[in-house]
Amino acid sequence: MNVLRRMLATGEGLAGLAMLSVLVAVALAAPLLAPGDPLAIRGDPLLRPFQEIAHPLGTDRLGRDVLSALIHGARTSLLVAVSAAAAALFIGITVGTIAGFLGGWVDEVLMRVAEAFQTVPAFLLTLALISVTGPRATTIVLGIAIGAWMQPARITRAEILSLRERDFVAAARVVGMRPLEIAFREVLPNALTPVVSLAAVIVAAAVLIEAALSFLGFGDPNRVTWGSMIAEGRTVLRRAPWLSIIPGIGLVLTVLAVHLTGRGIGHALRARRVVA
Amino acid sequence: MFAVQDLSVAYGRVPALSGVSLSLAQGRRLAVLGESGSGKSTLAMALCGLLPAGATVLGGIAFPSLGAPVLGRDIGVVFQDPGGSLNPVLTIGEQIAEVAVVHRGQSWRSARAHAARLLDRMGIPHPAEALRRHPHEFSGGQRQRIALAAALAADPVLLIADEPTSALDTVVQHAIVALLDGLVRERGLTLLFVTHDIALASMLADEVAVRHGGRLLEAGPVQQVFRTPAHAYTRALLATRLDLDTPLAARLPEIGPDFTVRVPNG
Amino acid sequence: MAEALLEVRGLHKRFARAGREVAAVDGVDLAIAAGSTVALAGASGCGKSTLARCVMRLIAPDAGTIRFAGTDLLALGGARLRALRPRFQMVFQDPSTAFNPRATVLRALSDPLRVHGLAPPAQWRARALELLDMVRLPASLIDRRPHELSGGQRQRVAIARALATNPDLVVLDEPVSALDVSVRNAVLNLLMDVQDRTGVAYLLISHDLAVVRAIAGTVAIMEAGRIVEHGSVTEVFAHPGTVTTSRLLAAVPRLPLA
Repeated sequence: MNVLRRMLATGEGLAGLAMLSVLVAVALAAPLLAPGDPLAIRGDPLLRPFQEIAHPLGTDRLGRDVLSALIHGARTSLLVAVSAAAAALFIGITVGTIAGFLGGWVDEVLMRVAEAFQTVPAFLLTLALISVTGPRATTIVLGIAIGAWMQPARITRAEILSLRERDFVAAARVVGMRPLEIAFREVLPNALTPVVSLAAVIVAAAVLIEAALSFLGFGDPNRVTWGSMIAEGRTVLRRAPWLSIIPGIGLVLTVLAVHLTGRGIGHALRARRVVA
Repeated sequence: MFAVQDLSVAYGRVPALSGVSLSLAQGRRLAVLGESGSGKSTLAMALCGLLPAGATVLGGIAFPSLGAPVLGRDIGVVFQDPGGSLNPVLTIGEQIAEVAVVHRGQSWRSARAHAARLLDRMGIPHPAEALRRHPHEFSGGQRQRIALAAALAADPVLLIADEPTSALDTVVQHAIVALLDGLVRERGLTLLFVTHDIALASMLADEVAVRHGGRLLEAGPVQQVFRTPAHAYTRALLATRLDLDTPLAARLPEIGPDFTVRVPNG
Repeated sequence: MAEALLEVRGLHKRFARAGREVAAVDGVDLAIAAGSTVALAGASGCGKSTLARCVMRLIAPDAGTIRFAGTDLLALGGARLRALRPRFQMVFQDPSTAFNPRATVLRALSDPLRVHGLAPPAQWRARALELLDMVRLPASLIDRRPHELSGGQRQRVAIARALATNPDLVVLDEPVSALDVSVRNAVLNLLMDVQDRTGVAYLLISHDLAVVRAIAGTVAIMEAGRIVEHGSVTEVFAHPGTVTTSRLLAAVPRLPLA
């Protein structure tokens, strides 16, 4: 709880968390705020924003309500991004802990694999996976995670390597704990701080990758996403620029909110380290 | 050399030092004796102007003969952990010579020669070759000597040492004490060092300030304070000191509440 | 004479340092009888800590044998080694790094019980309180974390942890050198009390001969990976047979005023 208080004490943390809370609230309350299928046709096509009270942000080429698409899009974006980041962190932390703690050939193999993954741009990796498996939400999440686990793995490994030589790890061996228990129960919790700070960067990147995938038509066709909205709007960019700009603003605000929150958490955790 | 007037330091709401007054004349050696939590390191940091940004400071420190002293040029500092004050990615030659270049305006060439002489003086073997090596290639005792060489490279008039020997084994401790003693005598250096070891204080200092729990208990010439200690804490430290003359009973004397000394039944 | 509790023979350990092979332990023989205290003394870098860590099976020696309670320690691995661990324990030099910063005193003291199934979870707290009492710490410390304790308190918890499994041998690696002087004697007294009560044997690693003299009966002086002198503390200190011993004795700080 102290971390939260210290985080709110920084301007960045406060602003980021406020913005993020609004976004999460909107995403969670989407069925209440904008009932019905956001993909359903509701009115005349290409209504401008602020023209008609029933469609405050206007309608798209097919007459679908932009506001309700925006709200439901927030749901998809956040859900996919957070799940993908969680999956990436899980894979990365597990691989990094095992590599760092066991060392030797296990470390060599795991780190060479991570390097191999890193030589391919994350986006292409994700794209390749989805083009094989088809655009379903789970494969999108997995695809983004496959392109993003390497950095958490490296950071975790580096932290574990520096902690591994500490006396408390030797003490755990003297007590008689098994290697995996020492790695995951004793060492890993002390290595998480920098990885947690990284989580925000991964979430932000995942938001953008998800949008880019949808923009290219690799998103889940049954869900509205901000990326697919921008792609839709592109064809009428001159006549109806708001169709691309509005979801674009959504993306910018989300990424900004996540970044600011991440920086706030980073500051708070560093402050705690100094105190301890 | 310096005079501390009613100095108080607090970290946030936690007081670390309260109302310390103390002065030291040129060429004298002062030991600040105390344990963890006595505020002895805070006092040393305050004198060097190295207190962390969050610290609240009241009172003053004056250096009458120095005016506004520059850390590194007028004041040299050595810390407990000899690894901590050396930069692991620079060679020790660069680190020692830099002090002389920055503060004494020497050329790199002459600064390196100066550094080699200092290392030789500190008893580091093959000083010319040692200059090209990195801190991790030396033992703890050698690193402490190297840190001492860097602290002395600009010929400071005041040396502040925070537990300079407590991370080292007794043999190396002994050598560093002899080294510091020689430096003070030869160069007329003023020395302030912080220690928890009463024997070290009595061997290396002219004056001693005994601290406990953020307060100064007593201060004065070493002979006087240790021969006729005024405070029970000082007496207890003297009575429980463990050395080769400690009588061998079943149990050792312990310091109890209110600084009473007792020998438990074995 | 009965078989020694610990018997080290011909132990060698080399490290690669700056491209060269350096012998940290270079053919050491050492024996400790049950219930006794043997000190291994020497300046830093003499190999005493390496030897201690070999005995604890924290590092693997290159050659030699270590027999503990009749078992060849070096032949054991994995589960069989872990099963023997309760019988030989260790107290580390710096109690501020010897504990998982996130674990409470309760967890530190109950880990040995949990790992070896020595007591059901319902009894962990009671057993931890007993151990705290044994090292003369108040019960109120049980839910604290290491950074909330003083150095002396932490070292007492470390001793309690080492005693949790009723070991036959405890390796004490510079047990008081990181502590404030005013608590050192109390910790040394505690170690002697525990030995009187439980009959545990100590292997004391120290550079400070005053500490060695206070609690050990036998001393082995090490230099450059070898034991250069060995015998009863009174004998060796009264008549040092090597320069190494004389230098260690001369280096013990003493009050010139006394």
